[in-house]
Amino acid sequence: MLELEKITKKFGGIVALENISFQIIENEILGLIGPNGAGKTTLFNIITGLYRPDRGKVIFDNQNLCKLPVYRIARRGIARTFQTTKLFFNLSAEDNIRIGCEVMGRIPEDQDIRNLLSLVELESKRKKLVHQFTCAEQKRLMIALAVCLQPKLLLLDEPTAGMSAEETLETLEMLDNLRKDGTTILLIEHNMRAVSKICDRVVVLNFGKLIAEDSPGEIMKNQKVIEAYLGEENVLVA
Amino acid sequence: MIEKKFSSITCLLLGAGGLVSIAPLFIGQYFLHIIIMVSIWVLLIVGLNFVVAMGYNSICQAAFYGVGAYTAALLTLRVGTPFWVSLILGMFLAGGAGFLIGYPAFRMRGHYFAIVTLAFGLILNLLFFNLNTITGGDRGLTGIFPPFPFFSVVWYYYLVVGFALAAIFISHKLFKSRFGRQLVAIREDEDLATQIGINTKKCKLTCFSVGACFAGLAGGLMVHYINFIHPEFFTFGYSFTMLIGVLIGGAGSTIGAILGTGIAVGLPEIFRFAGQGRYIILGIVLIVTVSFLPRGIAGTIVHYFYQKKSRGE
Repeated sequence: MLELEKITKKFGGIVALENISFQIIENEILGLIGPNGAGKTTLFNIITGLYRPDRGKVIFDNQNLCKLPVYRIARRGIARTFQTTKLFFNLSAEDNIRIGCEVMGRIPEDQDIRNLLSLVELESKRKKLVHQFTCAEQKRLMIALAVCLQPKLLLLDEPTAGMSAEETLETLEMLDNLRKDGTTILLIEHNMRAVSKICDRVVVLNFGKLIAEDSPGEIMKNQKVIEAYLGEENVLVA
Repeated sequence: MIEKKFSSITCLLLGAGGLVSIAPLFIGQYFLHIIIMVSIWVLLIVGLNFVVAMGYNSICQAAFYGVGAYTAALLTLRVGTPFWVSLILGMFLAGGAGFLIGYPAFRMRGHYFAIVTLAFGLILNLLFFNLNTITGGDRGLTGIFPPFPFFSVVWYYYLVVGFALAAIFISHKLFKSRFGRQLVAIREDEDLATQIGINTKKCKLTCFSVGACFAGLAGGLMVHYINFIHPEFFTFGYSFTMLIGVLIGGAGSTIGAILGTGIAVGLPEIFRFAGQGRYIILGIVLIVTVSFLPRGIAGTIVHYFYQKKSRGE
């Protein structure tokens, strides 16, 4: 579905990504992990067109996305969430979703909006202004906003950050349901329990380089990954 | 969405239309003149409001007003085109100028955008002053008369007020539409708006060009009304007054634009006895409004109801 071919991105003298190549297969959940500054969010920004790679290609449904503007990439079916919450804060949850649906050319009925919000358990708060929401609620609404764009590929940047264990479980369940409905997911996550629970495969980045790509079980045993990112204690916990 | 509370504007417009049609029976020429000038300002401020609604403060609306006015005047005087053709070409040329200026200007945001538009406004105004052979320079141009029956103040009143009501109707429909909600999205978070698939560049250029078209139409109407044109009518001071009107009234709201027009035109008129001091009063009103009602008067009222609705659930 999505193929990254030798993506390289530099910011001045800093090499943020170097020769990154991997594929995302339709209907899978692919985890993207690595320490802070590894280049995970930069990779998201390249896939969504916010940054242009210095070298390499992003092929989505057999088309190179590198020269398309950001909004066209979104309309082709790639939606994302952000590490720092980004929403239309002075509007209600309902209006956030309405704007998203309308961008995709649909005129949403009230029931459609309710259904979408019930997916992230925010139906009862649909008329509330977003800045009144808790951090976890905002994160969930951000996922709903991405989902209402009916993406083929959903990029989630730390969707469970700042959530309690219970909220994390609920979010993971929701992601699993999305996958069942046919959405492919690329997930940046630091919570290794969550990664091993939900991801089919995991790609590990370190200092802009791809150091491993395997199933979560194998990644946990990979010595390079343990040294660069996980640490022995975290592997035991996960 | 946000303007649902004012969905009765159609009824208000019909009522206003009724009042407008019978007003000349009861009021004298002086008040008709005032209403004509206010209606021209409604066109200007409603047009500017499309841009400010997205969070972009443009300071060159008076320049587009000038482009429309000079185009209409020159076509009428030098080419002898019919009134309607001059008016429409003036409107479209101003829209074209809006597109050409908007294209580079929208590479900037915030204060930088305002500065770039201010610069373009100053350049156009300098051209109006210095292209003597075309614009008449500091002497201006005279003898720009409308055709029969519009040289009668009453008929011209119907014409201009008709355009102003149509502009209000278009503005209201636009802000209530899907496109209007995209403008709100751009104002709230332009990066997010792009990321969810809104073609923000197209939206911004469309609004800027349409706003310029409104200003161009206002220019054509004004010049045929006062039969005279001078570059002094299009200085950046007027652009500032229009922006002040939008900010005080409330950007992104048609009611706000109408209120803003009332304040930007009415306040200096009421305090005319204070001489240039009347602009100090307008400035104080602006400072008080942006300090205590950053959404403007209408914007604050609309937001209050919007919040109340959100608390009710």
